[in-house]
Amino acid sequence: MLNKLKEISEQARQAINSVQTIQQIRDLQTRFLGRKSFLANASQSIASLAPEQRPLAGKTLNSVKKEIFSLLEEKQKSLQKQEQGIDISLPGFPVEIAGSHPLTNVINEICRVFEDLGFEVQQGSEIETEKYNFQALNIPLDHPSRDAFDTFYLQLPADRTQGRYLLRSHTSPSQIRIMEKRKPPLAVVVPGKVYRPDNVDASHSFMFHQIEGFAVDREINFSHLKGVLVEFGRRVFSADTRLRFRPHFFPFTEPSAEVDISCLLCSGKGCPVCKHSGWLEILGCGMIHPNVLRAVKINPAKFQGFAFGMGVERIAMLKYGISDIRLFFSNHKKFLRQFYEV
Amino acid sequence: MKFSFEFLKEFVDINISARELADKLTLAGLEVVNIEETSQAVSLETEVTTNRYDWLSLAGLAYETAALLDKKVRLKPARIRLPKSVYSGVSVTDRKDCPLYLGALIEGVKIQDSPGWLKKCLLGCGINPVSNAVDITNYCMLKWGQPLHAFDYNKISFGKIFVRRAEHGEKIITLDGRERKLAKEVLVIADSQKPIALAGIMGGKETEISSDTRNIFLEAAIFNPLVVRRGARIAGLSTDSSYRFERYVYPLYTFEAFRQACEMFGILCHGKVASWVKSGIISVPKSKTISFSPRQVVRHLGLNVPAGRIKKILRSLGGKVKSSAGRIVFTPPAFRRDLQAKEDVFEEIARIYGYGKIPVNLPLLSRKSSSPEFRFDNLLRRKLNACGFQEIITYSLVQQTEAKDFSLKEPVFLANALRREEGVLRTSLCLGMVKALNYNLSHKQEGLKFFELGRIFFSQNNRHREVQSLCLGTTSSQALDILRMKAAIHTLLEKTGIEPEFKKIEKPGFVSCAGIICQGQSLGFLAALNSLLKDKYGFSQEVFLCEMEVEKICTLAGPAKYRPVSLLPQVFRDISFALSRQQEFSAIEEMINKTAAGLCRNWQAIDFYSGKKLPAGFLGMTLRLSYQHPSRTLTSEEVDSVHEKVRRALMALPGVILR
Repeated sequence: MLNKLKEISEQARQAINSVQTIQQIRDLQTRFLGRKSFLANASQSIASLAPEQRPLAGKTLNSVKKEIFSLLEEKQKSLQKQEQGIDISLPGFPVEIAGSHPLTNVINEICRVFEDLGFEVQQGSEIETEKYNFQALNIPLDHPSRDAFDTFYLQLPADRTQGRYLLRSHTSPSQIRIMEKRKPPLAVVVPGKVYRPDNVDASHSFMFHQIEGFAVDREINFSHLKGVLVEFGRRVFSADTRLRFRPHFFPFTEPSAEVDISCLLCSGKGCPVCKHSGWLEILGCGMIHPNVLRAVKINPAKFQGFAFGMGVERIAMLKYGISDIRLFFSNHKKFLRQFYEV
Repeated sequence: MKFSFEFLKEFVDINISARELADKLTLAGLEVVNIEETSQAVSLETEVTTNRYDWLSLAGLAYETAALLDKKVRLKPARIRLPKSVYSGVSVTDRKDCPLYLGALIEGVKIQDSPGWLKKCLLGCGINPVSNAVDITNYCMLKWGQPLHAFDYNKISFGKIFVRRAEHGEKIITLDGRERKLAKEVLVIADSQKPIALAGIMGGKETEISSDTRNIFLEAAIFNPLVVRRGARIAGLSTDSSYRFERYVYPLYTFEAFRQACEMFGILCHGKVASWVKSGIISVPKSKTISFSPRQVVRHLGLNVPAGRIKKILRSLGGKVKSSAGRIVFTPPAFRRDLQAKEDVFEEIARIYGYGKIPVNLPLLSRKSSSPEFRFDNLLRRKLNACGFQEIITYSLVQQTEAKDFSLKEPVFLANALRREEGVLRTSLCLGMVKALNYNLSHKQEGLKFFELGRIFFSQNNRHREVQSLCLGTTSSQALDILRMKAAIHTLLEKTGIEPEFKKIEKPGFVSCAGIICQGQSLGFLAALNSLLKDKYGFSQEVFLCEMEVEKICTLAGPAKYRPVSLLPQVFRDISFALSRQQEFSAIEEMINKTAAGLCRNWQAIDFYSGKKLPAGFLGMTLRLSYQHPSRTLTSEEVDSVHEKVRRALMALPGVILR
């Protein structure tokens, strides 16, 4: 018995010595210590020995088991020590993640802010008529106030009641379309493309994006317009962004305002980006003109509301410090890949 | 408009600096965009909104400044007494074109440089001094907002002045030295022979004041704003004069400017008014009275301005204010034509009181859900991103000759395109996609996988249509890589709940064309650019394009469907063969479905190859078939037997060579 144990101990020692892999250790474990191994069944053989031989045999069995167990353990540890990883300071293999266009990101970010404030997002057509682009918005046919809305007209036969077809020069026609179809209370933002016959340069484009917003109800007033836009400014730019409302003129709002935000670069101290004024013009807004409400058969004595409109490219350019509007439409992959949703 | 700070100080006491005034004006709605300080003067440049013609004159600026600083205005009108003798040579054809024409013959003038103060004043307002006579007209225009014109009287044929529309084909050389052909829409000042000025826009070269001028004919008129506007547009001119006429001039100031100019011609040019004429009447439309209650102000602005303060603000603007039965009745000054409704008055109150003092409140809005189209677009974007496609945005205006390369739809043309390159609305997103791919390739960008979501436009049965479209584009050196694109589209659609079929179609400009079909509806197509177009647009690589109608995808889209996942073992068997280009793969697909009797659950093409070892016109491929029984484990004998059947069936197909 004792010889047999010695023999096994010797076999194990040799086998363990030549082990190379963890898998071999598992195999040896099964071979020497597993349920079917000699050692596992040796206790029964000890019982059949003469009583005076039993203690020594038992002792030896235990020490052999222990020895093999600790040899395996040791070997496993030393194998693990030898295991070589990869030099993790080597450069990683690049992974490309596709994303939305930066303008889409900005539009979605802004729309989400307004959705949180209780606005719904709607969309409108890019082909519009004079009625919706101008007349219903209180912009007279032949008036200097139209100069700001130079427009691409389309070679389509004019509509008898709505006038000539055109590419919308702002997103405000959607305001009319929605108010015409639905009753207040309304709180809607409309993002989309608009077109103006401007020659393309670093700051002009004949196609760009706007977001129109408006709310109409019985008691909506100018302070609400301020509240909504202040929240917008803080969330889209930064928490300490200040807003400045300057009186302005738009045919479709009264009172009207242009809104400046404190300069994102110098936070109001004055720098070349804000032309040393400390302020950056960001959007136009006002209380919806009673003539506009009348045009969509909403009684201005009962309902009132505000409207605002902003240029998406301008906001994106200010947000990211982009100095050329053409970059948005040339679609260079290295440009597009820099932006991501927030 | 640019004006000098010192000039303004003549008419109103200003006890703050130019910079402080600029801030006040800006916050009151007259944006000062630039302040120019020289040792000589301080000039402010303003951006005047179209409703405030009055801010185009120092008189109007003085009233605004006075209201902001709580001061009085002193305009110092001329004191000249005009002679009794009437100038008889003026005739106005249509009163609607020219409601008022004031003219004076000033004799014995001496043309020379203006005195220093006048030069400085004009320079401070951004106008170059010319000569005393011209400078006087500009000075009076700046002060009163009324454009004036001085003619060399001796060059006016028979001293006759006709205010009339131009005859078709008439010509004039304007002061800028350009000859202009005139049309009926243009109002002119003419003598008995020919036009001598474009009314309200620019004078003629022939009657220009020169150092030899001895007698002057001075004109101060009111021309119809629309007529001046159209005339200026036709002539392609915008002058200080036309700019003001388009925006309205105030008839009382027309007369003041006329009188002041007459007076100044006496003082600075030693001239004498020999006779003058007033053709038409000086009429100022009566101001509308506007009545409102202070409660309405609160309701509109959310700002509580005490009634006393409201009245004070309105009085400072120069209007009349009365109270009756808790209401305020306001009569704006006659020159404030922009004040028509109570909302206009609310703005006046707010802007003088300060927009900054209006409180900031959040309204309680009960939101309805956003448009499904908007949400579906964003849903598609996320899935496309997950498939590795980057979004691009390209111009909707394209060149017609290029547009027709990618779509046979009838385009909508612009009536006033800037350039031929942007003459029509895009009928397909493919053109923009191709250009974006090409631009990136030319900048050595690789791994291009782009998509665009946007509108396309076309005419159909005499009506225009505007449709939301989705375009995917990739490039590769391998023609077979179109199959990656096909798989991507399949995955994209599958993940919106659509099981698409790809059916071979023909499409001009493309090869390897497939229509994308679902439930009998065509969603769009997938194809590669043919070699002609590849060459035309400068590609040496393959270009794969897909365009689909978003609305159709949206309509067919549905939620995910769950099928239990079988954990029974799958057995894979590969089969390699070469397929003739005459034989469509769909035949093999059909054969497997028929032969494998429901045991082949799916298969994949794991390899394609072409080369010398294959007969010409053959494509080699390896299919990996996956065998699985729906309810029990398959034995390998069963798999072998069915796979053998598949092999035999495959061998029997025409155009297939088993390897």
